[in-house]
Amino acid sequence: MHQKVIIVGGGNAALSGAIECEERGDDVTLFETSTAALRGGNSKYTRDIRYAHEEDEFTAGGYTKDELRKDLLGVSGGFDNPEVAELVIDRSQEMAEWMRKHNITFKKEIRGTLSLSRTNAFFMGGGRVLVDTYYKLIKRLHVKIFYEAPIVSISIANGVVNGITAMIDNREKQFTADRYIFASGGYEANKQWLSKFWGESVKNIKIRGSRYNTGIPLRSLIENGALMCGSEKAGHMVAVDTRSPEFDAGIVSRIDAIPWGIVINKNVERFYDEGEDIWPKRYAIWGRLVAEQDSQLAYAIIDNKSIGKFMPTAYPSIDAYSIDELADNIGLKAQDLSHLISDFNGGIVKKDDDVFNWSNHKLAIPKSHWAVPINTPPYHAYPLSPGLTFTYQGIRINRTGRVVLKDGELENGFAAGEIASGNVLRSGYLAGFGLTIGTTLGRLAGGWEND
Amino acid sequence: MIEGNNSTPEAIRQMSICNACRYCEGYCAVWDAIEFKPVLNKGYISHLANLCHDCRDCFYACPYNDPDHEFKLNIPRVLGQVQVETYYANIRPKSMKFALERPILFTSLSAFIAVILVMVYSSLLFGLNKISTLPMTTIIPVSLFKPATIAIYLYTLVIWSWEALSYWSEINEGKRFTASGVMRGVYDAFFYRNFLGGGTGCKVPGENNKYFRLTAHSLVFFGFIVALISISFYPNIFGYVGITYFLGSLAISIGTVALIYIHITEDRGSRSQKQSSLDYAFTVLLFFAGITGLLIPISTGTNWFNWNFLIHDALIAVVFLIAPFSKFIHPVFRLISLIKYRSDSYRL
Repeated sequence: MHQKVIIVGGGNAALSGAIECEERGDDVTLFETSTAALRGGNSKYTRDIRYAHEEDEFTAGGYTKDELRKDLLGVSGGFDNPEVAELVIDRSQEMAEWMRKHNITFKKEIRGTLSLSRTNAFFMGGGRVLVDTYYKLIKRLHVKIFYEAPIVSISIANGVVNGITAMIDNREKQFTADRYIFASGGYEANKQWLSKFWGESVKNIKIRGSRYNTGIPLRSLIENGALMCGSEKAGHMVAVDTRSPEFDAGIVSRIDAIPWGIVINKNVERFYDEGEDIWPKRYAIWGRLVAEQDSQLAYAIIDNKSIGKFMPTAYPSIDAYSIDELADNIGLKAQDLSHLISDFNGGIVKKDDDVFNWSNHKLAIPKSHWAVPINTPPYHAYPLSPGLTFTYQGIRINRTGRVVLKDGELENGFAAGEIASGNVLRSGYLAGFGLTIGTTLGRLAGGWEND
Repeated sequence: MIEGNNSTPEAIRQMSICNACRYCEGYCAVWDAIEFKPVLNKGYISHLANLCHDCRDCFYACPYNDPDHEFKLNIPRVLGQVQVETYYANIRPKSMKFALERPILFTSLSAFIAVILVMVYSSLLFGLNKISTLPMTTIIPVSLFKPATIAIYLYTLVIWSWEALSYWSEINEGKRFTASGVMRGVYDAFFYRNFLGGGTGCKVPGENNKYFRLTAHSLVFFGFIVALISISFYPNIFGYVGITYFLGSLAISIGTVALIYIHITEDRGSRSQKQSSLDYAFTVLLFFAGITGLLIPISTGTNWFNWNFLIHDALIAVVFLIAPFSKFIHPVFRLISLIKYRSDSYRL
């Protein structure tokens, strides 16, 4: 039976759902908040998928479901919704082939991100190409697409969605369908909502993803009794360059220099061990750490030896040939910085030739690895701000993809993508798994399982 | 969009953002080469600019190119600008820079003057009415043709080398070519490795014609080589040689028409206008050279054979005479950059 389907959202999950519906012959209408040029939500900023697989041509080896499950539990500490998590893990196996069938070209070889070469497959061009490819496909399949069409409200009664109200050409308009798929992302670009947790400091937080992820449909579903899922206040936050735009800097604003130097706040104080040894953790805690400082501002300082040891930065470093000059250039007290750096350099213990084992435990806050002396000019500083990647809070779904309410479930309402990712990852981050959750749950919401 | 004369700082700004992103890795050599340099400088940007073959794949993959986005990236355009500026900087003799600044005027004027000169000169020599009836070898004797072509080839090679040395000193970073770098670089050029776009082809002229540009360019390139070899058999340009010359000219004609089609239909927003007019001027010149080449066997036996042959020779002479001051610099600079890229990759 052909259904009328409404899809709210325009990223990977929404598009995967649209493709699934159209291929069964449904009549699909898709509502994207952004302009056509900026479509695709946070999916624009992706570039790879993590999926369980045997040896294949896209990766450097096999990756079992057990390994994937272990990695997921390792970063999140446990599943909020084991049933859905298992489903995503299981169905991830079909994903690469499905994407290829839908015109995505995977890379044969990868460079630079070797730590992921076995677990993740990278596609040509990254997320913008992914979403553009899918948009072209669904246009050919005659999906009706509204751009600049934010959802204002969702009408729900007795466990049934009765319709949505969208802004079309600045006028509210009602739409109804047989099936509704909510794939509209989190609320990371909604600074008013974020201020509930961050207060005033929210103005200094950079939003790495789409400016259109304001979470209006998410809030509407919660107000209509949807059960929540995923950590409520937390988000994935990394250290980014202070000079980056407030929204939509994607991957390029992040600063990877931290373990190679020291990080100080405005008062020229270090506040955390820059040399903690586990890479993903180290990367992902720095956003919150910087957010806790005065003005949500910090500086990473390295010397010239370390250039080339970390990913290049989008903005040039602030440079100087002496520590005093560097302090002047970034507006800090020169004397304090000189003291700090000479204390730091003075107490370094080099256990062997491997800089990983160089440390300084004499400081109040030790640096436990990569304690490379800062003594080779020119010196470089990067100003750091907290950069929010995404929020974890979403809504609970069941194994058919339907939204779970406090009393029962939505008969014809489904959720997919970031809005439902809390079912699988309540916190933490696993590279490439956001797209896996989005694609799998999007297809599920689109009726992949005949229910 | 007004294009200034020093695009390097803007290219460094844009490409530094790319180097922090690297999502375009796999499209072409630019995205491999950028990974060798954590901090970009002028010489390296010039090198990257000549590795760019303007396929636009990176432009259509870029999440940062919307006019509303603060980054405002437009890599094909800014690299195109820098590429033309490397021609400006390394053209020899330096006084010929004006030819690059006004390519359409310079090219059409050169072609016009050459054609008129040849026609007037031969008319004065043989009489206007006689030209159609005299044997070809009387009007252009082998004793003139051979030394003249060799002189023109040598002239082109000498100036190309002069320019190549200048470009090489701009980008070499004190490093040398390696033997395997030379082999692989030449291989990449001849087999169009970078036009494959990592399996996705070129985004111009359109999604469904991903190897259109590769086909068009290789028709011109290989057609040109076939024709060049064939004409060296002059005056024996009939029979088998006539067939190869015809096929070479046909390939040039079809290829240039295809390139002109791309030029007319493409999205100008992602192109350097300076580069675009350089390309256009030279492509149109090659088109006329190709068409007049095609007409040689077709016109055999007719009384306009000699006229066509004279015009054709004049146009071919112009192609070589202005080669060092036109788009025809690009094979030299591009080959040097491809070899540098390959030499650098295998040094790592």
